[in-house]
Amino acid sequence: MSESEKIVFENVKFGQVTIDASSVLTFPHGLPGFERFREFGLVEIEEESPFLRLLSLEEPRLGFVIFNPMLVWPDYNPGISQEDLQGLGITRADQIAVYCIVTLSKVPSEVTTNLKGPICINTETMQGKQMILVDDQYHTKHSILATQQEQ
Amino acid sequence: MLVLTRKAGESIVIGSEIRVTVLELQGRQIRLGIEAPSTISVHRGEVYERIREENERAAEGDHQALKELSQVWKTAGR
Repeated sequence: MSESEKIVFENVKFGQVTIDASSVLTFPHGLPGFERFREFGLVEIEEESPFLRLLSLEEPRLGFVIFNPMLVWPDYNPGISQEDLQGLGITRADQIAVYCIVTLSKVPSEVTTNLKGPICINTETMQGKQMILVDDQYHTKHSILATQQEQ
Repeated sequence: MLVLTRKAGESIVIGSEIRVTVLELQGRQIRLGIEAPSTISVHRGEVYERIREENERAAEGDHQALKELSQVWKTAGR
């Protein structure tokens, strides 16, 4: 597979989307609520934005916005289990990327992210899984901007 | 939904690799033991529900709102 191999797919908001094959992320178990959807494309929004789109290759109406939670919570420690890491074939820290799903709102201060369900990715195999954390300090609606302002 | 009635000490086998055992009854609570391959995640139902709900809410997101969010993010100086 050449590095410049492209994948083209449809999305209801963005029309026809073209991505590198290397930007395809596979979720062997789908995502809670969307278990049937396994293949997604990672799309950058613009160069300086920390937000990425995760668009379904299989369902044009399905897409998420994700971002690296450490940008707002540098001490975020999801504590992913050995079993989950093994399931993704992760043996080294440099293979791991963690993103959290963002729930958008028209009011920026009401935009939240789900720290209780981080998406853990093996960046070499581009396989991912949404983890469900047991740690009670994390819940599903952490305000992104309110935290920024506090800092 | 398949409904089975079990006594303490009895179990249910799901597929070929998952076993749920009723360990003991303590008042209004039941202690369950779950044996499953480590590749299968096991979660309390209400926690899974919360993740599922938030995913569904997030999937409906207004991507127009994202533009404004990116702007605010930039001006917040990150």
